[in-house]
Amino acid sequence: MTQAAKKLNVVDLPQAKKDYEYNWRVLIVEDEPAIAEGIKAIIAPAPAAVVPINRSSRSAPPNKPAGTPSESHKDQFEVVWAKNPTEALHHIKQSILNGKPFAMGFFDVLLGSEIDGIELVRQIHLMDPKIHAVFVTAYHDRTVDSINQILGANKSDRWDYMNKPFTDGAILQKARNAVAMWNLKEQKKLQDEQLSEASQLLRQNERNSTVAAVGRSVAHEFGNLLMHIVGHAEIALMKGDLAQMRNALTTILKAGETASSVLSKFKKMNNVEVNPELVNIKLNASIDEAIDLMAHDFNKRNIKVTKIKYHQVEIEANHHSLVQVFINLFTNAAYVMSPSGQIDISVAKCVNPEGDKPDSWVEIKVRDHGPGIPQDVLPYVMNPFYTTKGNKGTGLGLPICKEIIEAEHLGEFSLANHPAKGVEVTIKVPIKQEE
Amino acid sequence: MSKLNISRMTIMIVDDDDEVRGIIKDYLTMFGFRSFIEARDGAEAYRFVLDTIQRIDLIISDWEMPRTDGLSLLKAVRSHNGRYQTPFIMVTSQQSQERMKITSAKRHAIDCYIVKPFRSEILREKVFQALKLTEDAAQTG
Repeated sequence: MTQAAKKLNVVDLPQAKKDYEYNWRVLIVEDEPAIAEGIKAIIAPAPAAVVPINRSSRSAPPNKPAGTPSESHKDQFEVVWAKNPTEALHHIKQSILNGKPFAMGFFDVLLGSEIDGIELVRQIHLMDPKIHAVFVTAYHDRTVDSINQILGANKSDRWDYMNKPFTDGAILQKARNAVAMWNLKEQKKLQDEQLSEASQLLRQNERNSTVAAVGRSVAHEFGNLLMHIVGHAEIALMKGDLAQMRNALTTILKAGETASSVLSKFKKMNNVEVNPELVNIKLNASIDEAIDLMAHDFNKRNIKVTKIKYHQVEIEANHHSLVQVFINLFTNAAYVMSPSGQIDISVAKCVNPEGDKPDSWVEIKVRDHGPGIPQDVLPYVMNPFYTTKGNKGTGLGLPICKEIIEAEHLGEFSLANHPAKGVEVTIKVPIKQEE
Repeated sequence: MSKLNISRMTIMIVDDDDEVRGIIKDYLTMFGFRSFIEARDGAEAYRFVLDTIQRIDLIISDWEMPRTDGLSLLKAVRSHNGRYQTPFIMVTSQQSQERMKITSAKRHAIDCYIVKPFRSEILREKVFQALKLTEDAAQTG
């Protein structure tokens, strides 16, 4: 059991690597040309890096490769100046249309026009909710709270302010911080998307290997059923005896029916629903289907399934997800028991975790009679990519079970050694999903 | 070889599926065999193998069976002092794992294998091949 957890290299997953282009674009909204020029000179001292006011960002000079190790420490601000709100809104609109949004902007509060800098940012946020704003003001003409009220509490991490007169360092550092914040948020969002894509893929893979395992058992069953059909037909034909033919046809029909019921179960397994809906189902039917699908494996390993307590319960759930959970649990149980064993299943209604509604939840226990899990390994078994099965396991079985029970059905999933022997998994799910 | 010889041979059929065992027996009867031993799994079959008085000319065994599977039976037969040369035909329904199976079967000197479902002709061909009989001998004998 000292086998190290198997690690999956995330970089191997498709689309895990996307080039990220660091956004250095800064908008200055300032009616005083001298102040605008001053800010520009501070954050983008190299004249080449300053974009002339009236050039649209489409014609802006191409980005220097950002993020390369030798250059990553250098500021590469691209600055655009707007002298009034109309110009500012135009630049924002263009930047969104060109897919080159601004990371941050310096906004003079008093712009000498119909709207002030704060109202301007409120309007800008309708178009570009991600831009970071730094208000520049000569007076304490607004309290921080009143700005927060105008922009909304959900934007409180998207703005900052500074009072005139400001130092060069303050301006430069505000610009760096705001730009860094914008890029951090963007990179995190990108990573989250890639991660969720990857985890979906892994779930799909796990599902596929479950299907493959069940597929092997189906193949064996089909081999026998086809043998019944072919054998009986051929023998009946060769003997040409009417009674024999009648017998053969009866057997063939029965084999055909069994085959189609096996097939329909297998087909259901393969149905992947993107957004599975929870409907009223018979929980026992899900468990029975998993037992049926595992029957071949159980038979081969000489495993007996005992239903200790088996109350029939109808719950609001996803049948296929539950079948997947039970197949996973049964596979784990069967794996640890050799050359023979026993799996105990119990189903009974129980009280909700808050303890105020009796019989509003159902408790399912699946226990094997294997060796149990060593204490030093127990804390890790629910971790993704942890497996004791070497190359045969993905280490995702239990985490997926947990996810299906806890995330999809808002239930509880736990695993412990049984006081007597073996591992006991306890699943608790609400009978009705609350709104 | 003659028909007489065929009818005196004893073939052991090992399969957990009663129907499949019955079909193989019917096929073999049509080929002219008369004496059969049936077993539901490898362990049951091995009891016959250990019985030194029991005549066994050929073993036809399913690969996948509960308790003791076909490969374990094959290994046991091959390491048995008196029986290690008994012809052995393995039956399987898993074509996907064919390569793995052929490899491990070769290692244990399997005579041939058949994939379920099979027609009588195939079984006939394999049985005669395993017994090193010619079709002519069986038919005209």
